[in-house]
Amino acid sequence: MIYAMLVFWILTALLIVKERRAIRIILYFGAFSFITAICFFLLGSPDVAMAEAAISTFATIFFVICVEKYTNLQIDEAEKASDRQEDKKPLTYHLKKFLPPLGFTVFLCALFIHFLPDNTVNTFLKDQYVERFAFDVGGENAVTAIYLGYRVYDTLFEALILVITVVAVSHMSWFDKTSVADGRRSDIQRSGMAVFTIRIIAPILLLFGVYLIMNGHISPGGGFQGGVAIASFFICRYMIYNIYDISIDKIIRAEKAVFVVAALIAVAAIFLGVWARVPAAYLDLYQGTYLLIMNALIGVKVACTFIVLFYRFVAIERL
Amino acid sequence: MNVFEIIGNIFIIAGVIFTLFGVAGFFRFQNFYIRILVSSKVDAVGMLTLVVGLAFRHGISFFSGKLMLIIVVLLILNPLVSHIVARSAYLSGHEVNDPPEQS
Amino acid sequence: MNFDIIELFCIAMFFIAFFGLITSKSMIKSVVFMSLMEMAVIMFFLSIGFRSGLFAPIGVNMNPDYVADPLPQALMITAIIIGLSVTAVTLTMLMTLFRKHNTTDWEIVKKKSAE
Repeated sequence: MIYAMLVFWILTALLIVKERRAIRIILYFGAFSFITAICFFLLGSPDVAMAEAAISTFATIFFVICVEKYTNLQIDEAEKASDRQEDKKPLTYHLKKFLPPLGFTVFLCALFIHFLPDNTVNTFLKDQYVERFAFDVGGENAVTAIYLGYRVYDTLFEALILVITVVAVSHMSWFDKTSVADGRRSDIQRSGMAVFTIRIIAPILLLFGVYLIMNGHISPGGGFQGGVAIASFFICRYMIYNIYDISIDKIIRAEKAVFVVAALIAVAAIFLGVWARVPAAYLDLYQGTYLLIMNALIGVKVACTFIVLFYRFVAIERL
Repeated sequence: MNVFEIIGNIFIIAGVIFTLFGVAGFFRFQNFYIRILVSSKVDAVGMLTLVVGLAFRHGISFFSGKLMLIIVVLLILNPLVSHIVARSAYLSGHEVNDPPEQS
Repeated sequence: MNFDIIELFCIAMFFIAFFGLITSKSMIKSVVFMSLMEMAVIMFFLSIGFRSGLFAPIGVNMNPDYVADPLPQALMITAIIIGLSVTAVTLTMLMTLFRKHNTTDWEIVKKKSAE
Protein backbone atom coordinates (compact mmCIF):
# COMPACT_ATOMS: atom_id res chain seq x y z
CA MET A 1 0.00 0.00 0.00
CA ILE A 2 2.67 2.49 1.06
CA TYR A 3 4.81 1.61 -1.97
CA ALA A 4 1.91 2.18 -4.40
CA MET A 5 1.28 5.58 -2.80
CA LEU A 6 4.99 6.43 -3.02
CA VAL A 7 5.00 5.60 -6.74
CA PHE A 8 2.05 7.99 -7.22
CA TRP A 9 3.99 10.54 -5.16
CA ILE A 10 6.97 10.41 -7.53
CA LEU A 11 4.69 10.50 -10.59
CA THR A 12 2.95 13.66 -9.37
CA ALA A 13 6.32 15.34 -8.85
CA LEU A 14 7.37 14.41 -12.40
CA LEU A 15 4.09 15.90 -13.68
CA ILE A 16 4.91 19.15 -11.88
CA VAL A 17 8.40 19.17 -13.44
CA LYS A 18 6.92 18.77 -16.91
CA GLU A 19 3.90 21.10 -16.61
CA ARG A 20 3.99 24.68 -17.88
CA ARG A 21 0.65 26.25 -16.98
CA ALA A 22 0.78 27.88 -13.57
CA ILE A 23 -2.77 26.99 -12.56
CA ARG A 24 -2.21 23.30 -13.36
CA ILE A 25 0.99 23.31 -11.31
CA ILE A 26 -1.09 24.46 -8.34
CA LEU A 27 -3.66 21.71 -8.93
CA TYR A 28 -0.95 19.05 -9.13
CA PHE A 29 0.57 20.49 -5.98
CA GLY A 30 -2.75 20.00 -4.19
CA ALA A 31 -2.88 16.37 -5.34
CA PHE A 32 0.74 15.96 -4.24
CA SER A 33 -0.01 17.24 -0.74
CA PHE A 34 -3.00 14.92 -0.47
CA ILE A 35 -0.91 11.87 -1.42
CA THR A 36 1.77 13.00 1.02
CA ALA A 37 -0.79 13.12 3.82
CA ILE A 38 -1.90 9.55 3.02
CA CYS A 39 1.75 8.39 3.04
CA PHE A 40 2.31 10.04 6.44
CA PHE A 41 -0.74 8.21 7.79
CA LEU A 42 0.54 4.89 6.44
CA LEU A 43 3.92 5.57 8.09
CA GLY A 44 2.22 5.39 11.48
CA SER A 45 1.99 9.11 12.22
CA PRO A 46 -1.62 10.35 12.15
CA ASP A 47 -0.68 13.63 13.86
CA VAL A 48 1.67 14.65 11.06
CA ALA A 49 -0.83 13.51 8.44
CA MET A 50 -3.53 15.70 9.96
CA ALA A 51 -1.20 18.70 10.10
CA GLU A 52 -0.19 18.16 6.48
CA ALA A 53 -3.79 17.84 5.27
CA ALA A 54 -4.76 21.04 7.07
CA ILE A 55 -1.69 22.97 5.94
CA SER A 56 -1.96 21.99 2.27
CA THR A 57 -5.34 23.75 2.03
CA PHE A 58 -3.77 27.00 3.17
CA ALA A 59 -0.79 26.60 0.87
CA THR A 60 -3.11 25.99 -2.10
CA ILE A 61 -5.18 29.09 -1.24
CA PHE A 62 -2.05 31.28 -1.09
CA PHE A 63 -0.77 29.91 -4.38
CA VAL A 64 -4.12 30.43 -6.12
CA ILE A 65 -4.38 34.05 -4.94
CA CYS A 66 -0.82 34.68 -6.09
CA VAL A 67 -1.25 33.01 -9.49
CA GLU A 68 -4.64 34.54 -10.24
CA LYS A 69 -3.46 38.08 -9.70
CA TYR A 70 0.20 38.05 -10.63
CA THR A 71 0.70 35.79 -13.61
CA ASN A 72 -1.02 34.89 -16.81
CA LEU A 73 -3.56 32.16 -16.05
CA GLN A 74 -2.66 30.22 -19.15
CA ILE A 75 0.94 29.26 -19.91
CA ASP A 76 3.31 31.09 -17.62
CA GLU A 77 4.56 34.03 -19.67
CA ALA A 78 8.13 33.21 -18.85
CA GLU A 79 7.72 29.72 -20.26
CA LYS A 80 5.67 31.02 -23.21
CA ALA A 81 8.32 33.42 -24.43
CA SER A 82 11.01 30.79 -24.30
CA ASP A 83 8.71 28.22 -25.95
CA ARG A 84 8.42 30.25 -29.12
CA GLN A 85 12.17 30.52 -29.50
CA GLU A 86 13.02 26.99 -28.51
CA ASP A 87 10.55 25.06 -30.63
CA LYS A 88 12.67 25.77 -33.67
CA LYS A 89 15.97 24.72 -32.11
CA PRO A 90 17.38 21.25 -32.91
CA LEU A 91 17.51 18.34 -30.48
CA THR A 92 21.16 18.86 -29.63
CA TYR A 93 20.32 22.29 -28.23
CA HIS A 94 17.83 20.77 -25.79
CA LEU A 95 20.30 18.05 -24.83
CA LYS A 96 23.00 20.64 -24.23
CA LYS A 97 20.63 22.64 -22.10
CA PHE A 98 19.26 19.83 -19.91
CA LEU A 99 22.18 17.42 -19.63
CA PRO A 100 24.44 19.48 -17.32
CA PRO A 101 21.77 20.04 -14.62
CA LEU A 102 20.63 16.42 -14.94
CA GLY A 103 24.20 15.13 -14.65
CA PHE A 104 24.85 17.38 -11.66
CA THR A 105 21.66 16.14 -9.95
CA VAL A 106 22.45 12.48 -10.60
CA PHE A 107 26.01 13.02 -9.32
CA LEU A 108 24.74 14.59 -6.09
CA CYS A 109 22.18 11.80 -5.69
CA ALA A 110 24.83 9.12 -6.13
CA LEU A 111 27.09 10.90 -3.64
CA PHE A 112 24.21 11.07 -1.16
CA ILE A 113 23.37 7.37 -1.50
CA HIS A 114 27.03 6.37 -1.25
CA PHE A 115 27.52 8.19 2.02
CA LEU A 116 24.16 7.20 3.49
CA PRO A 117 24.90 5.68 6.91
CA ASP A 118 23.86 2.04 6.96
CA ASN A 119 24.16 1.35 10.67
CA THR A 120 21.09 0.33 12.62
CA VAL A 121 18.92 2.95 14.25
CA ASN A 122 19.55 3.62 17.93
CA THR A 123 16.25 2.96 19.71
CA PHE A 124 17.32 4.00 23.21
CA LEU A 125 15.48 7.32 23.18
CA LYS A 126 12.42 5.78 21.58
CA ASP A 127 12.17 3.12 24.29
CA GLN A 128 12.63 5.71 27.02
CA TYR A 129 10.00 8.04 25.59
CA VAL A 130 7.41 5.36 24.87
CA GLU A 131 7.75 3.72 28.27
CA ARG A 132 7.93 6.79 30.47
CA PHE A 133 5.94 9.57 28.83
CA ALA A 134 2.70 8.70 30.64
CA PHE A 135 4.48 9.05 33.98
CA ASP A 136 6.66 12.05 33.10
CA VAL A 137 4.34 14.28 31.11
CA GLY A 138 0.95 12.58 31.15
CA GLY A 139 -1.67 12.02 28.49
CA GLU A 140 -1.93 9.11 26.09
CA ASN A 141 -0.39 10.61 22.96
CA ALA A 142 3.39 10.20 22.89
CA VAL A 143 3.83 12.87 20.20
CA THR A 144 2.02 15.53 22.24
CA ALA A 145 3.97 14.46 25.31
CA ILE A 146 7.24 15.04 23.45
CA TYR A 147 6.44 18.41 21.92
CA LEU A 148 4.85 19.79 25.11
CA GLY A 149 7.01 18.03 27.69
CA TYR A 150 10.44 16.81 26.75
CA ARG A 151 11.02 19.23 23.90
CA VAL A 152 8.96 22.26 24.81
CA TYR A 153 11.90 24.51 23.85
CA ASP A 154 11.47 23.44 20.21
CA THR A 155 7.79 24.26 20.30
CA LEU A 156 8.38 27.66 21.87
CA PHE A 157 10.95 28.66 19.29
CA GLU A 158 8.69 27.38 16.53
CA ALA A 159 5.96 29.64 17.92
CA LEU A 160 8.48 32.49 17.87
CA ILE A 161 9.16 31.76 14.20
CA LEU A 162 5.44 32.20 13.49
CA VAL A 163 5.65 35.73 14.95
CA ILE A 164 8.71 36.38 12.77
CA THR A 165 6.75 35.16 9.74
CA VAL A 166 3.97 37.66 10.35
CA VAL A 167 6.51 40.46 10.73
CA ALA A 168 8.35 39.36 7.57
CA VAL A 169 5.17 39.16 5.51
CA SER A 170 4.15 42.65 6.64
CA HIS A 171 7.63 44.03 6.06
CA MET A 172 8.44 42.52 2.67
CA SER A 173 5.12 43.26 1.02
CA TRP A 174 4.80 46.18 -1.39
CA PHE A 175 1.94 47.52 0.75
CA ASP A 176 3.60 49.42 3.58
CA LYS A 177 0.66 49.63 6.00
CA THR A 178 -0.20 46.73 8.26
CA SER A 179 -3.94 46.97 8.66
CA VAL A 180 -6.74 46.97 6.10
CA ALA A 181 -9.77 47.01 8.40
CA ASP A 182 -11.81 49.66 6.62
CA GLY A 183 -14.92 47.59 6.00
CA ARG A 184 -14.30 47.42 2.26
CA ARG A 185 -16.19 44.74 0.34
CA SER A 186 -14.59 42.91 -2.54
CA ASP A 187 -16.36 42.97 -5.88
CA ILE A 188 -16.43 39.22 -6.40
CA GLN A 189 -19.79 37.76 -7.39
CA ARG A 190 -20.72 35.22 -4.78
CA SER A 191 -22.88 32.18 -5.30
CA GLY A 192 -25.91 32.12 -3.01
CA MET A 193 -25.81 28.36 -2.82
CA ALA A 194 -22.17 28.40 -1.68
CA VAL A 195 -22.91 31.00 1.00
CA PHE A 196 -25.86 28.98 2.29
CA THR A 197 -23.84 25.76 2.47
CA ILE A 198 -20.84 27.40 4.10
CA ARG A 199 -23.14 28.88 6.74
CA ILE A 200 -24.07 25.31 7.67
CA ILE A 201 -20.49 23.99 7.56
CA ALA A 202 -18.65 26.80 9.38
CA PRO A 203 -19.88 26.05 12.95
CA ILE A 204 -18.99 22.38 12.43
CA LEU A 205 -15.46 23.48 11.48
CA LEU A 206 -15.11 25.61 14.61
CA LEU A 207 -16.40 22.76 16.76
CA PHE A 208 -13.96 20.38 15.09
CA GLY A 209 -11.04 22.70 15.79
CA VAL A 210 -11.97 23.01 19.46
CA TYR A 211 -12.43 19.22 19.65
CA LEU A 212 -8.95 18.64 18.21
CA ILE A 213 -7.40 20.99 20.75
CA MET A 214 -9.29 19.60 23.73
CA ASN A 215 -8.44 15.98 22.85
CA GLY A 216 -4.89 16.67 21.72
CA HIS A 217 -3.28 14.76 24.58
CA ILE A 218 -5.37 11.57 24.35
CA SER A 219 -5.89 11.19 20.57
CA PRO A 220 -4.37 12.35 17.27
CA GLY A 221 -4.54 16.11 16.98
CA GLY A 222 -3.38 18.94 19.14
CA GLY A 223 -2.65 22.63 19.11
CA PHE A 224 -1.23 22.90 15.61
CA GLN A 225 -3.96 21.00 13.79
CA GLY A 226 -6.78 22.53 15.84
CA GLY A 227 -5.36 26.02 15.32
CA VAL A 228 -5.37 25.56 11.56
CA ALA A 229 -8.97 24.29 11.69
CA ILE A 230 -10.01 27.38 13.68
CA ALA A 231 -8.23 29.62 11.18
CA SER A 232 -10.19 27.96 8.36
CA PHE A 233 -13.37 28.97 10.21
CA PHE A 234 -12.30 32.56 9.57
CA ILE A 235 -11.89 31.79 5.86
CA CYS A 236 -15.52 30.66 5.93
CA ARG A 237 -16.46 33.91 7.69
CA TYR A 238 -14.77 35.89 4.95
CA MET A 239 -16.57 33.89 2.29
CA ILE A 240 -19.97 34.48 3.92
CA TYR A 241 -19.77 38.20 4.72
CA ASN A 242 -17.20 39.18 2.07
CA ILE A 243 -15.85 42.03 4.17
CA TYR A 244 -12.41 42.98 5.50
CA ASP A 245 -13.34 44.15 8.97
CA ILE A 246 -10.88 42.21 11.14
CA SER A 247 -8.23 44.47 12.61
CA ILE A 248 -4.91 42.77 11.90
CA ASP A 249 -3.08 44.93 14.46
CA LYS A 250 -5.21 43.61 17.29
CA ILE A 251 -4.70 40.00 16.21
CA ILE A 252 -0.92 40.45 16.05
CA ARG A 253 -0.96 42.01 19.53
CA ALA A 254 -3.06 39.11 20.86
CA GLU A 255 -0.66 36.66 19.25
CA LYS A 256 2.36 38.19 20.98
CA ALA A 257 0.54 38.17 24.34
CA VAL A 258 -0.40 34.51 23.89
CA PHE A 259 3.20 33.66 23.07
CA VAL A 260 4.49 35.35 26.21
CA VAL A 261 1.90 33.56 28.37
CA ALA A 262 2.77 30.19 26.81
CA ALA A 263 6.49 30.75 27.38
CA LEU A 264 5.89 31.76 31.01
CA ILE A 265 3.72 28.73 31.71
CA ALA A 266 6.24 26.35 30.13
CA VAL A 267 9.11 27.87 32.09
CA ALA A 268 7.13 27.79 35.35
CA ALA A 269 5.94 24.24 34.83
CA ILE A 270 9.16 22.58 33.77
CA PHE A 271 12.25 24.64 34.42
CA LEU A 272 11.34 25.97 37.87
CA GLY A 273 10.58 22.44 39.08
CA VAL A 274 6.93 22.88 39.97
CA TRP A 275 6.51 19.47 38.39
CA ALA A 276 8.41 17.61 41.09
CA ARG A 277 6.67 19.36 44.02
CA VAL A 278 3.14 18.38 43.07
CA PRO A 279 1.80 15.68 45.43
CA ALA A 280 1.40 12.31 43.77
CA ALA A 281 -2.36 12.28 44.30
CA TYR A 282 -2.82 15.43 42.19
CA LEU A 283 -0.21 14.63 39.55
CA ASP A 284 -2.69 13.36 36.94
CA LEU A 285 -4.93 16.41 37.33
CA TYR A 286 -1.95 18.76 37.16
CA GLN A 287 -0.46 17.12 34.09
CA GLY A 288 -3.80 17.03 32.27
CA THR A 289 -4.40 20.72 32.99
CA TYR A 290 -0.90 21.63 31.84
CA LEU A 291 -1.26 19.76 28.52
CA LEU A 292 -4.73 21.21 27.91
CA ILE A 293 -3.68 24.81 28.59
CA MET A 294 -0.50 24.59 26.50
CA ASN A 295 -2.38 22.98 23.60
CA ALA A 296 -5.05 25.70 23.77
CA LEU A 297 -2.43 28.50 23.81
CA ILE A 298 -0.52 27.02 20.88
CA GLY A 299 -3.80 26.53 19.01
CA VAL A 300 -4.78 30.18 19.51
CA LYS A 301 -1.32 31.28 18.43
CA VAL A 302 -1.31 29.23 15.21
CA ALA A 303 -4.87 30.35 14.45
CA CYS A 304 -3.90 34.02 14.89
CA THR A 305 -0.91 33.64 12.57
CA PHE A 306 -2.88 32.03 9.80
CA ILE A 307 -5.77 34.49 10.10
CA VAL A 308 -3.29 37.34 9.65
CA LEU A 309 -1.60 35.64 6.69
CA PHE A 310 -4.95 34.87 5.02
CA TYR A 311 -6.33 38.38 5.43
CA ARG A 312 -3.13 39.92 4.16
CA PHE A 313 -3.11 37.70 1.10
CA VAL A 314 -6.77 38.20 0.32
CA ALA A 315 -7.18 41.86 1.19
CA ILE A 316 -3.85 43.47 0.37
CA GLU A 317 -2.28 41.38 -2.33
CA ARG A 318 -5.46 41.52 -4.41
CA LEU A 319 -5.72 45.31 -4.35
CA MET B 1 -18.92 -13.73 8.01
CA ASN B 2 -22.24 -12.46 9.23
CA VAL B 3 -25.02 -10.75 7.30
CA PHE B 4 -23.76 -7.23 8.01
CA GLU B 5 -20.35 -7.96 6.51
CA ILE B 6 -21.87 -9.44 3.33
CA ILE B 7 -24.11 -6.39 2.87
CA GLY B 8 -21.11 -4.14 3.52
CA ASN B 9 -18.99 -5.94 0.92
CA ILE B 10 -21.78 -5.61 -1.66
CA PHE B 11 -21.97 -1.87 -0.96
CA ILE B 12 -18.20 -1.45 -1.28
CA ILE B 13 -18.14 -3.29 -4.62
CA ALA B 14 -21.00 -1.08 -5.84
CA GLY B 15 -19.04 1.99 -4.79
CA VAL B 16 -15.96 0.87 -6.70
CA ILE B 17 -18.11 0.25 -9.79
CA PHE B 18 -19.64 3.74 -9.54
CA THR B 19 -16.15 5.21 -9.28
CA LEU B 20 -15.02 3.24 -12.33
CA PHE B 21 -17.99 4.53 -14.34
CA GLY B 22 -17.20 8.07 -13.25
CA VAL B 23 -13.56 7.82 -14.35
CA ALA B 24 -14.49 6.11 -17.63
CA GLY B 25 -17.08 8.82 -18.39
CA PHE B 26 -14.52 11.51 -17.61
CA PHE B 27 -12.31 10.21 -20.41
CA ARG B 28 -15.23 9.38 -22.71
CA PHE B 29 -16.69 12.91 -22.98
CA GLN B 30 -14.98 16.03 -24.25
CA ASN B 31 -17.34 18.82 -23.23
CA PHE B 32 -16.28 20.47 -19.98
CA TYR B 33 -19.72 20.66 -18.36
CA ILE B 34 -20.59 17.03 -19.14
CA ARG B 35 -17.23 16.08 -17.64
CA ILE B 36 -18.13 17.89 -14.41
CA LEU B 37 -21.52 16.15 -14.36
CA VAL B 38 -19.94 12.73 -14.81
CA SER B 39 -17.03 13.21 -12.44
CA SER B 40 -19.32 14.47 -9.66
CA LYS B 41 -20.62 10.89 -9.57
CA VAL B 42 -17.23 9.86 -8.19
CA ASP B 43 -17.37 12.14 -5.16
CA ALA B 44 -21.08 12.01 -4.53
CA VAL B 45 -22.30 8.49 -5.25
CA GLY B 46 -19.12 6.41 -5.26
CA MET B 47 -17.68 7.86 -2.05
CA LEU B 48 -21.06 7.73 -0.29
CA THR B 49 -21.62 4.07 -1.15
CA LEU B 50 -18.11 3.16 0.00
CA VAL B 51 -18.61 4.84 3.38
CA VAL B 52 -22.04 3.21 3.83
CA GLY B 53 -20.44 -0.16 3.08
CA LEU B 54 -17.74 0.46 5.70
CA ALA B 55 -20.39 1.40 8.27
CA PHE B 56 -22.27 -1.83 7.54
CA ARG B 57 -19.11 -3.90 7.94
CA HIS B 58 -18.52 -2.55 11.44
CA GLY B 59 -22.09 -3.07 12.64
CA ILE B 60 -23.58 -0.73 15.22
CA SER B 61 -20.68 0.94 17.06
CA PHE B 62 -19.11 4.31 17.83
CA PHE B 63 -16.98 4.01 14.69
CA SER B 64 -20.00 3.71 12.38
CA GLY B 65 -21.56 6.69 14.15
CA LYS B 66 -18.54 8.75 13.16
CA LEU B 67 -18.89 7.40 9.60
CA MET B 68 -22.50 8.64 9.59
CA LEU B 69 -21.24 12.12 10.51
CA ILE B 70 -18.77 11.92 7.60
CA ILE B 71 -21.66 10.96 5.29
CA VAL B 72 -23.62 14.05 6.36
CA VAL B 73 -20.63 16.32 5.68
CA LEU B 74 -20.02 14.63 2.30
CA LEU B 75 -23.66 15.06 1.33
CA ILE B 76 -23.45 18.77 2.10
CA LEU B 77 -20.05 19.50 0.57
CA ASN B 78 -19.68 17.34 -2.56
CA PRO B 79 -22.47 18.94 -4.64
CA LEU B 80 -21.10 22.32 -3.59
CA VAL B 81 -17.68 21.53 -5.09
CA SER B 82 -19.15 20.58 -8.47
CA HIS B 83 -21.39 23.66 -8.37
CA ILE B 84 -18.45 26.00 -7.66
CA VAL B 85 -16.31 24.51 -10.43
CA ALA B 86 -19.10 24.74 -13.01
CA ARG B 87 -20.09 28.25 -11.90
CA SER B 88 -16.58 29.67 -12.03
CA ALA B 89 -16.07 28.09 -15.45
CA TYR B 90 -19.28 29.72 -16.68
CA LEU B 91 -18.42 33.11 -15.18
CA SER B 92 -14.94 33.09 -16.69
CA GLY B 93 -16.48 32.71 -20.13
CA HIS B 94 -16.42 29.03 -20.94
CA GLU B 95 -19.07 28.36 -23.61
CA VAL B 96 -21.70 25.76 -22.75
CA ASN B 97 -21.75 24.27 -26.25
CA ASP B 98 -18.02 24.15 -26.50
CA PRO B 99 -16.06 22.52 -29.29
CA PRO B 100 -13.85 19.69 -28.01
CA GLU B 101 -10.97 20.93 -25.91
CA GLN B 102 -7.53 21.06 -27.45
CA SER B 103 -5.50 19.40 -24.75
CA MET C 1 24.51 -1.73 2.35
CA ASN C 2 20.94 -2.35 3.46
CA PHE C 3 18.55 0.32 2.29
CA ASP C 4 15.03 1.02 3.24
CA ILE C 5 13.01 1.37 0.03
CA ILE C 6 11.01 4.30 1.47
CA GLU C 7 14.25 6.18 2.11
CA LEU C 8 15.30 5.64 -1.51
CA PHE C 9 11.95 7.05 -2.66
CA CYS C 10 12.50 10.13 -0.49
CA ILE C 11 16.01 10.70 -1.86
CA ALA C 12 14.69 10.34 -5.43
CA MET C 13 11.93 12.86 -4.64
CA PHE C 14 14.39 15.33 -3.14
CA PHE C 15 16.59 15.25 -6.22
CA ILE C 16 13.67 15.45 -8.66
CA ALA C 17 12.63 18.63 -6.86
CA PHE C 18 16.26 19.83 -6.92
CA PHE C 19 16.45 19.26 -10.68
CA GLY C 20 13.22 21.20 -11.15
CA LEU C 21 14.51 24.01 -8.96
CA ILE C 22 17.71 24.52 -10.95
CA THR C 23 16.06 24.25 -14.38
CA SER C 24 12.79 26.15 -13.90
CA LYS C 25 12.45 29.68 -15.23
CA SER C 26 9.21 30.57 -13.54
CA MET C 27 9.27 31.85 -9.97
CA ILE C 28 6.05 30.09 -8.96
CA LYS C 29 7.57 26.77 -9.98
CA SER C 30 10.57 27.51 -7.78
CA VAL C 31 8.34 28.09 -4.75
CA VAL C 32 6.44 24.86 -5.44
CA PHE C 33 9.67 22.88 -5.75
CA MET C 34 10.91 24.27 -2.45
CA SER C 35 7.76 22.86 -0.86
CA LEU C 36 8.38 19.53 -2.57
CA MET C 37 11.94 19.28 -1.24
CA GLU C 38 10.67 19.96 2.24
CA MET C 39 8.06 17.20 1.96
CA ALA C 40 10.77 14.76 0.89
CA VAL C 41 12.87 15.64 3.94
CA ILE C 42 9.87 15.22 6.25
CA MET C 43 9.02 11.84 4.75
CA PHE C 44 12.66 10.77 5.17
CA PHE C 45 12.60 11.64 8.86
CA LEU C 46 9.32 9.81 9.42
CA SER C 47 10.55 6.69 7.62
CA ILE C 48 13.55 6.45 9.97
CA GLY C 49 11.40 5.36 12.89
CA PHE C 50 9.12 3.10 10.92
CA ARG C 51 9.17 -0.56 9.97
CA SER C 52 6.33 -2.41 8.30
CA GLY C 53 3.70 -3.43 10.84
CA LEU C 54 4.18 -0.73 13.46
CA PHE C 55 1.29 1.25 14.98
CA ALA C 56 0.89 4.91 15.79
CA PRO C 57 2.35 5.86 19.22
CA ILE C 58 -1.00 6.59 20.85
CA GLY C 59 -2.41 4.58 23.73
CA VAL C 60 -1.79 3.36 27.28
CA ASN C 61 0.99 0.95 28.33
CA MET C 62 2.50 0.56 24.87
CA ASN C 63 5.30 -1.84 24.03
CA PRO C 64 8.14 0.06 22.29
CA ASP C 65 8.64 -2.84 19.89
CA TYR C 66 5.24 -2.34 18.28
CA VAL C 67 4.93 1.43 17.83
CA ALA C 68 6.55 3.92 15.47
CA ASP C 69 9.15 6.34 16.81
CA PRO C 70 7.36 9.41 18.27
CA LEU C 71 10.40 11.71 18.33
CA PRO C 72 10.67 12.44 14.56
CA GLN C 73 6.91 12.90 14.42
CA ALA C 74 6.95 15.56 17.14
CA LEU C 75 9.77 17.38 15.33
CA MET C 76 8.12 17.12 11.92
CA ILE C 77 4.80 18.66 13.03
CA THR C 78 6.65 21.89 13.75
CA ALA C 79 8.58 21.52 10.48
CA ILE C 80 5.33 21.34 8.50
CA ILE C 81 3.94 24.51 10.09
CA ILE C 82 7.23 26.32 9.42
CA GLY C 83 7.01 25.09 5.81
CA LEU C 84 3.80 27.01 5.30
CA SER C 85 5.45 30.10 6.82
CA VAL C 86 8.32 29.77 4.33
CA THR C 87 5.83 29.47 1.48
CA ALA C 88 3.96 32.59 2.62
CA VAL C 89 7.12 34.67 2.92
CA THR C 90 8.46 33.55 -0.47
CA LEU C 91 5.13 34.27 -2.15
CA THR C 92 5.15 37.75 -0.63
CA MET C 93 8.64 38.33 -2.01
CA LEU C 94 7.47 37.03 -5.39
CA MET C 95 4.61 39.53 -5.44
CA THR C 96 6.94 42.39 -4.55
CA LEU C 97 9.32 41.37 -7.36
CA PHE C 98 6.38 41.17 -9.75
CA ARG C 99 5.26 44.70 -8.81
CA LYS C 100 8.81 45.93 -9.40
CA HIS C 101 9.70 44.18 -12.66
CA ASN C 102 6.27 43.16 -14.02
CA THR C 103 7.35 39.62 -14.87
CA THR C 104 7.79 36.22 -13.22
CA ASP C 105 10.75 35.16 -15.34
CA TRP C 106 14.02 34.67 -13.48
CA GLU C 107 16.14 35.57 -16.52
CA ILE C 108 14.44 38.90 -17.15
CA VAL C 109 14.55 39.80 -13.46
CA LYS C 110 18.27 39.01 -13.36
CA LYS C 111 18.93 41.16 -16.43
CA LYS C 112 16.89 44.06 -15.08
CA SER C 113 18.54 43.94 -11.66
CA ALA C 114 22.00 43.96 -13.22
CA GLU C 115 21.32 47.19 -15.07
